[in-house]
Amino acid sequence: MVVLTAQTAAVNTFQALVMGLVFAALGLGFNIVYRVSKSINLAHPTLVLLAAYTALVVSTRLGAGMAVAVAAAAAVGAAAGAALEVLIARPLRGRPPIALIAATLGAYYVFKALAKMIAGDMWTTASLPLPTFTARFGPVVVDASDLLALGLAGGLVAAVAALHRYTRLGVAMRAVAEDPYGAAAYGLPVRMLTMLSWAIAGAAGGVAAVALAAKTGVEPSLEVYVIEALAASLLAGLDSIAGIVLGGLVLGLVYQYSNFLLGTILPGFGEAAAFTLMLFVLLVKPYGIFGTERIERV
Amino acid sequence: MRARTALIAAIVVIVVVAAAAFMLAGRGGGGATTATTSPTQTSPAASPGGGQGGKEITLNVGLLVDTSGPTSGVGRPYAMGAEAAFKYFNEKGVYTSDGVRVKLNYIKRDYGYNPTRAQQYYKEFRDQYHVVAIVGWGTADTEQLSSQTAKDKILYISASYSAKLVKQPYNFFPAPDYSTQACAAVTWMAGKKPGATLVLLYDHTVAYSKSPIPAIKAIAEKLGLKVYDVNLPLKASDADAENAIQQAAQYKPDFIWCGNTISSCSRAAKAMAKYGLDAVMVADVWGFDERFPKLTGVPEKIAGKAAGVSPWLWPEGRENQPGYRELYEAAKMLDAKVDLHFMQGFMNVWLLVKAIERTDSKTLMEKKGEALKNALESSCNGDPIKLGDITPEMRYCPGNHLPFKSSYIVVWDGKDFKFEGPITPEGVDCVKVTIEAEK
Repeated sequence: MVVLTAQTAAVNTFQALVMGLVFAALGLGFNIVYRVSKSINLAHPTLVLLAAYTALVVSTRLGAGMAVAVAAAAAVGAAAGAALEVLIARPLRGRPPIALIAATLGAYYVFKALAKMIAGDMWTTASLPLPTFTARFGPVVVDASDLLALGLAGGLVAAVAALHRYTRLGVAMRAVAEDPYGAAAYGLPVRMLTMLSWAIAGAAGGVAAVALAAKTGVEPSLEVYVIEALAASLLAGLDSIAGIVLGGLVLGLVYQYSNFLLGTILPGFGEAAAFTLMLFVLLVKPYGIFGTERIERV
Repeated sequence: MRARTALIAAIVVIVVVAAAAFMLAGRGGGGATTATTSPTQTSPAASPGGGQGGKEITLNVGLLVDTSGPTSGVGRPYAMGAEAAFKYFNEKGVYTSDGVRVKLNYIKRDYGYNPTRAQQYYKEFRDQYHVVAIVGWGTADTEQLSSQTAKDKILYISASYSAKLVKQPYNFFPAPDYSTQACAAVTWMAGKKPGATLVLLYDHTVAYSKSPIPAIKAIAEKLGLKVYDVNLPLKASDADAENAIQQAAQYKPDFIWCGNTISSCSRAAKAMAKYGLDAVMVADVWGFDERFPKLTGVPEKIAGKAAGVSPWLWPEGRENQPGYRELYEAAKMLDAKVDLHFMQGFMNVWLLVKAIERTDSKTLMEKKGEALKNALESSCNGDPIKLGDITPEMRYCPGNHLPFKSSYIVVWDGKDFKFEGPITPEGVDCVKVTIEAEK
């Protein structure tokens, strides 16, 4: 029987926080797109995969530093996000949301194929080249992958939240998200801002991809983690940006502790518990904890 | 506006279709042709020893691999090794026992580790190409197809070394099964430290990871080892690995068995190093290869603490040894890098070639896959089969296709991989325990 001691609690809580923030960062892409297009971007998981392999190739094959790898991943993510908006979301504007969801499902496979092309013979399990130092804080040992994941994921969520809340661009993007016709009447460039939102969602996916890769390595099935991160988005509410931190942390904590305490007796219970919690929250609050309830006029 | 939307929608559809086509690019391997009958006779062809000099037989062989799915990381070098072998042996010349040249025409399909798709490709191999043999891949699909291949009398050589397949009449592989390999690892541990404590890290929900566990427990009990179970997901992040290692540490283990694939096992080894767990990890054959130290990110910290099971000596540095020499010559043809998984693909095709060489052309033409099966089983009481120095002498008996029982333990010493063994588990029939546990 596994015993929860102060040491194991500290270690598991720390890892849950790191993975929770990574889940929040991965989920951001869903939320940003949902705000402007009221649809779920099903291509986001493989956009993250594409960005992760870009970072791997840049950091290992080209020998560039991690900062360059993060920038490359963000750039590829931004380009992919913008392309999705121009080629898919824009022509389908005004159509039922299911049309856009289905179209992004098609793009899911396009991005996976692109990731495979970029990876070439690196389309395999690999690790990002990170320093090997460790630092001990009481019972918790922190290494470079923890710091990179924490820094990138935490910084990303904070930066996107600040952008939306405190900058003129963010205010304009929120206006477009709330009421595109009203925003257009005020002279805001709705098309450009919508494309920018998708590009930011893609760039966020690119940065989150490196944070994820630091904790999991890069492998062809990496996108599964992004699908799990959708739970954090739904838990927070798909139109919430800052709330996603709570969604991610809840997901991370429930997952980590259920696995630690019950994983050997009930294998797979961690994932089940996290998603059961999400279902429960959605039953009680269908728009998520921080989501905005929409009143449909018929 | 509507026309423009329709145009863009059409472009999107084209891109999606093109991408889907790209994803299925595994279809159509180097040897794929439109041949529809097999075996077929053509002429002329030279033969060694002047046997039936004018004849040539073309055999269609299926090559079912994962080059795009979740196991594609190891599936791609395996597929390349198999393709190199087809090319190499075709150029070198494959001859039946009576001197008739056989051309191997392989049809490659990437099933993406999806058993349903494997079933579809199997039907294509059987009905469209009339293959006599298949060189296959994973456990779930190979096990699912095993009764069908027996019914259709198609020889099936897989990269899955599942114990269940040992008893299937048409399934073969040039290695001990996973359970016998794991039992060799436990025997090695007991030899290193009698009465040791062993923690089994594996995904409790995955058949591949679970299957050798009853055999490990049986032999561990016989050898006086204490055993504990800890769940480690096959898809493990650092957080999952640290979670599992924290649990394992509570049992103060001397050894850890990792029964998952390399991604998961290397994360666990990294977590062991991070928290200074003083134990030696031994991973299964798909959990440990040349990439392992680098994948942990801390190769110097896992020196002497990370090991794996391998039925064969790895190819690095053995270019001049029989068997390995042929492997390297084949790799040169494709300008490919030789590693463990490349070698596994090469070996499986070579085993098929051995079967052809042990049968005569008339029997091969009449009995096809059955002739190849009988040829391999003729090793039971006749001459054993050997793939150069890569394998020891192998004997396949009717009802028992376990060709040999020994395995090496490959230990990472910080600079290089050291091979200990070969070790043969004794006292427990690990195949039998596994099959009975799964009933």
